[in-house]
This record gives sequence, structure tokens and C-alpha cells, in this order.
Amino acid sequence: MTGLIRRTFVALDEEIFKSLYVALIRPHLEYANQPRRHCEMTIYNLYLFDRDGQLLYYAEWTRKKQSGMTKDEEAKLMYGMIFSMKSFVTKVSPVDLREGYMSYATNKYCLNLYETPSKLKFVLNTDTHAQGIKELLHQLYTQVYVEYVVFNPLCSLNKPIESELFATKLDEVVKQSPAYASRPA
Amino acid sequence: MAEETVFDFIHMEAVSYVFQGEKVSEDEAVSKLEHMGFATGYRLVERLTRESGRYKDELDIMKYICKDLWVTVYKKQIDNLRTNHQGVYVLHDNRFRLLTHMANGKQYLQYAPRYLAFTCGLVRGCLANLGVTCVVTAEVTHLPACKFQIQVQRG
Repeated sequence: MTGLIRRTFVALDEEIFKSLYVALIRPHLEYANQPRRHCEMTIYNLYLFDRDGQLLYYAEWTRKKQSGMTKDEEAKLMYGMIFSMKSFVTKVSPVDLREGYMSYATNKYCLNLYETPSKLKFVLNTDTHAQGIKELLHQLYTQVYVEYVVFNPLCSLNKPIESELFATKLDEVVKQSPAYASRPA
Repeated sequence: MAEETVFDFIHMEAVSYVFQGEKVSEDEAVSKLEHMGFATGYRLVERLTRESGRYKDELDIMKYICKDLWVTVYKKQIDNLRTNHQGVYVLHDNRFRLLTHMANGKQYLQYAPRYLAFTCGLVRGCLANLGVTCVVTAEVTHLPACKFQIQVQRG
């Protein structure tokens, strides 16, 4: 491309070359850079509900807009919504659903729900480009919840989780997943 | 791997069972757990040392406790053994298996001794059947590390 420019112009001024470079060559280089953009994924927050709808744990990483209601009300709203969505989806679905994973996406965020066989629900809000969330939620369940809550004799399974170790490990696992970027979207 | 989890859960339930009821004092409950450990340790050591020969001296017995017994029950060895050669031995475990899932620091510190009582009894029972009378106490300052102090009663 640079050769083409040099051959076309008899007298090549620095200025002209620069503007031609910007116009013709840079776009090709930038095109190659584009795929990296899709890795700008962020995780916003996480809710953990037990089988009766009680909020066991809430964690937040980036949240720019508050919902304007108390934590309890927000938790109830969230649980009510996922409960109705789950029953709606199973009734309307044209095929048999066995997966415990469901998600909906708006143009700004994506809500992912993972339900374990013991009816524990992990709800994770991420941005729309996040990949591999099902595996991440499964990992959170097996490597963090089971290890640090089920095995902790002082954590009652139907009460809000107070273990600091659980909080630390949860944070660690989320931060080292590829779906978490420190740049806010 | 599954067998360890069964022991962990039974132990957790034993601790909460012993603390059930309103009038149970901490000491009573802890001593019940210690007795359970003693009886278990007494028979366990008989079963585990079936094949090995007699032990040369007390220090050898302590080393056996630190290595073989801990590996059999908790799948790891004791990290540090100290003694003053006058009958006091201190066993350090930096990641005691029954405490690793609880906390990493000071949270739940007041409840930690309950989960060590059974093990204290276990060690006492093992030593008793090997001919060493002693008193075993445990101390936790920073989960999940803990120290077991063995004081041998002589004479």
C-alpha cells in the first residue's frame, strides 16, 4: 500500500503522505484490532437466592444506577421476576427444557440465571458481550458455595451468608474469570 | 475423596448435637466431644498400628502421631513439632482440615475450639493406648492454623 502511494505521486510531501496514510492504511490496521473490543466484558452484580426466595448473598462490582428501593424490596422484585420468568419459559417452550441456565439480554445488560439441583438460584448481571457465564456460575456454585458454605458448620444453609472467606473467594473467582474486565463498559 | 466428606459432616453434626439444648454449658459440651474423641482414638490406634513394631521412646510416638495418624485421618502431616524434652510437645498445623472451610483469619474465632475438642480427645486416646498418659489442649489464634499442646503426665 505504501509502495502504491509512493509510485503514484511524483513529489511526495510529508504532509500529503501522512494524510494518505491515515486515510488508506490505518483502517486496515484498525480492523485487525477490532476483535479485542469484544473482550471488554464486565460483571455488574450477583444475587444468590435459596429455594424459598430468601436473599442469601448480594455482591456488587460495578453499578452506576441504583434501583431506588431498599435491598429487601429489590431482592423480592428480582426473585418474583425470575420465578415467573422460569414458569413462563417452561410452559411456552416448544422443546423440553432440562437446563438450569437461562438468560435475557437488553441492549445494555444481560441477566443470567443458574439454578442448581437444590433449587439455589445464582443471578448474575453482566454486560451484553460476556461469554462463558454458564461455566462461571457453575464454577461459583461448586468451587465457592459448596466449599465455603456447605462445608462451614457455622453457616446455616437457609440464612444469609456471613462468612468472610466466602466473600473473598467469590470475589477472587469472579475477578479471575475472562468475563470480568476492570475497565467499566 | 468422598470418605473424608462423610467424616467432616458427621463431625459437624456431632458438634452441633452436643451444643443443643438451652442449658448446655460450653465446658460440658466440649468435654463430651473430647470423650468421644478419646474413645475413638483409643480403638483407632489399636487398628492402625497392627503391623508396626514397638516404638523406641516417647518422641518416636509423637512423631508417629504427627506423621501417620494425621495423614490417615486428615490427609496431611503436622507442619511443625516442638518439644522441651521435659514432656511438653506442641504440634502446629497450619491448615487444619476441619477449619479450612470456615474462615481465613479471625472470623468465627470463638467457635473454633469446639471443632478442635474431638481431635484433642483423639490424640489423647491414641497416646493412652500406646502407654502415654497425657493432657491435650488446643489453641487457635488465626484460622485455619492451630496448635495442639500435649503435656505428658509422669509418675
